[in-house]
Amino acid sequence: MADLSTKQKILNASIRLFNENGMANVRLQQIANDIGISAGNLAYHFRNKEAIVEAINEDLYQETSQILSYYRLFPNLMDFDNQLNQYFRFIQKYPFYFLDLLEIERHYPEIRSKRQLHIEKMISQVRKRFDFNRQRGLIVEEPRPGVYDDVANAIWVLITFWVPQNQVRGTEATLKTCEFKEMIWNQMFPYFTEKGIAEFDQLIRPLLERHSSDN
Amino acid sequence: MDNCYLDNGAYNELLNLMNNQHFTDHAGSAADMDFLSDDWWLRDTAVIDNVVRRDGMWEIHLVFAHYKEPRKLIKRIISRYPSKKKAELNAWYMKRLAAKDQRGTLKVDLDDFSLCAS
Repeated sequence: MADLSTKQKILNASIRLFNENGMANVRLQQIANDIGISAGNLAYHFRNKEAIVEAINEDLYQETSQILSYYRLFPNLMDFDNQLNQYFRFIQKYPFYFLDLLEIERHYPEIRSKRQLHIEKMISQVRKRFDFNRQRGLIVEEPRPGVYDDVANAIWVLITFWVPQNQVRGTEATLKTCEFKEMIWNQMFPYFTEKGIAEFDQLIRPLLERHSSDN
Repeated sequence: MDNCYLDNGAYNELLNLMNNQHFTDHAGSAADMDFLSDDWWLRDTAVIDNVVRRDGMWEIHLVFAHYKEPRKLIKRIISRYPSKKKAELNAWYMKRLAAKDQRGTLKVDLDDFSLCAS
């Protein structure tokens, strides 16, 4: 039990330091110092940094799988909003996963391959939400073939690069749920029918306003 | 689980099915559950077992008759056995199993049927 606890402490400290300094800039000694154990003790639990990354990767994979399971839990627009909340929580918990995207792509093939498994599923889900809501009469017919594919891709880009674009623009302080969600809903909004706008105003807008006042 | 991987085509089909489910599944109506109240009278029935020889086999017939209105009854053929003794034994078990009133206080007498002797 003590081992598990120390292991978890190491992982939590690693995630925090990765988020603060970037994966490449964190050394094992820093992690050990952070939780007040010796480097030898840390090496007993994780032989090197790759082993820590591997353990974190498993959590990342489980959590992204969990987010993908938030599909069709509600029969209305709430379903996507609910999933966006989960994406935002994930982004807040693991910003390094998005900030160090290229670093991960180059140096951590395990994380990369698992991320790849989820990218297409994320995009497919958004795309199928268009189909679903079109069938419900909330979204207009596709103006041109491929438009909804592009919007689904754009939404994926927004989710994935939300943290880096904020950092590049120096707007980290405005990392708010409502802004994140509103920007994504705005990709979908131009394609809403009157019925879609009515449902959006009834179900989603009050939530966005509530988040806005919470923040 | 790591080796289980759903390719994009299959995953898209899965999402389509989940979407379609919304349009094909409908909530049932209250009338769908009427069979429950329709069968409530069976709680007040006495069970009468009967072993009948037919086509060279012994059939177990159970009659469920309302203990106050014995002419309200249903008959069900439960199973068939080549041996009469086995059929009688199973009929007894079936009767015990089917009776809602395990103490056997609900009884129907032949006289209750008001049968005409002629």
